[in-house]
Amino acid sequence: MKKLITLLFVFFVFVIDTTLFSHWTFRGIRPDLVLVLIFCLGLIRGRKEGVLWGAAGGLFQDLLIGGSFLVGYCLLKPLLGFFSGLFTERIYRENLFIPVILIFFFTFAQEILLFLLHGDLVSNWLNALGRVVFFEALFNSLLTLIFYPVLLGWDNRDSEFSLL
Amino acid sequence: MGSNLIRWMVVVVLIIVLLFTIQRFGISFTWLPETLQDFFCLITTPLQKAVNFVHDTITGSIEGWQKWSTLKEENRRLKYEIFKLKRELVTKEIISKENLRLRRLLGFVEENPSFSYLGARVIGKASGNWFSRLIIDRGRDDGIKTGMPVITYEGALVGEVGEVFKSSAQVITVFDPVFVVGGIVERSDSRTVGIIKSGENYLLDPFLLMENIPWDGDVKKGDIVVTSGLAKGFPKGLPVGRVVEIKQKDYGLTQSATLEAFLKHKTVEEVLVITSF
Repeated sequence: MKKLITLLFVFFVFVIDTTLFSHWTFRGIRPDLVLVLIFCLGLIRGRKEGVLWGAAGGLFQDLLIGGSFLVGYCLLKPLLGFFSGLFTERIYRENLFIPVILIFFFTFAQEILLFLLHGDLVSNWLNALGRVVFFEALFNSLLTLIFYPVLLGWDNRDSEFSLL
Repeated sequence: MGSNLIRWMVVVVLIIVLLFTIQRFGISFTWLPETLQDFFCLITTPLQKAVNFVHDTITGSIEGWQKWSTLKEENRRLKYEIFKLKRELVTKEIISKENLRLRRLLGFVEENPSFSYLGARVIGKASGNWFSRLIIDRGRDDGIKTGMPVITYEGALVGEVGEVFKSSAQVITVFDPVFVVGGIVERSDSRTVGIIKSGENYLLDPFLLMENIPWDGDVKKGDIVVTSGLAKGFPKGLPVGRVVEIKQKDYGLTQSATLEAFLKHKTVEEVLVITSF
């Protein structure tokens, strides 16, 4: 049941990402809401769920871009979900500071991997990293401040119920 | 625990290998069954429409309210009357905006009667900062096909239809890194041709590049560039942008012009798909 709700939540976040966040931009830059969610899920629930929800969210994103141009989000997102899951047992869960910092670097990691995959996507890497990815990473960090406590609260509540 | 981690590491390595195999051999995504995409879009399209509707309604109401507040300050004596009319104003504003758009749209249609059009509303934008792709609320059921040109209600080129789903479609805009179209300078004594593609900072600035212009091509600042009609799929004469800068390229063998696009992709709400021309 929890997995089904999570899947629906990933889907809901994806819809919000493609609709509301095409209007709500920061200096013309959009955040990657799906990345924020997958990162938080991986961090809270471990690498297995990080990979699972990464695959789902990435597939949603690829399906909409889709067609003749493979973006590779369906492979990049589980990879990032896995790496965020590696931190699960290494950080203090209630500490909000570490996820906010980590997502900043995860955003850079995703975009650099994307540039490596599609060499002709941007002609000037440094410019793209400085003018786009930096602000996207900031935006993602800000959204992690909201997402992480909400998801952690949900997970903690479920753990309490399972103990009863 | 150790073997578990090794198993996971193997999965990660496999994903990385797969990613770079795709990059190396350029495997396309067409292996994805069309029905899967259709099924996915069957669920997403109504949701995207609904979220967009809520957003537009709230934004419209806020705009209306802001105007009402200004009026209130200016016309204190009419406070009561304004309050009564507030609701009506909000509705009228939305209708008048739509009316203006449709008037422009009609004007363009009258100028180009040989084209067949289909109006569509933008309901979303594909994920990520690197792809400029819009999602419109018309799809295969409405006769939309891949490659159809898409324009704004003022006639400016938006892009072309990419993926087509059952009741929605994706539009690859002129700012997308994969989009390319032939362009021609509109000035009657020039007619210089070139290839138009997205600019370096396509995400932030509404600039396009017109490349492969002959070294002696007659291009000036302020020239309007339209589609040349030489490439398959686009009619001649769709306005693309205005020349703002000209540079020498390839050691002076060719020229490259920076165009300020007529399309402002962040504000486009409704588009026209040219179904035949």
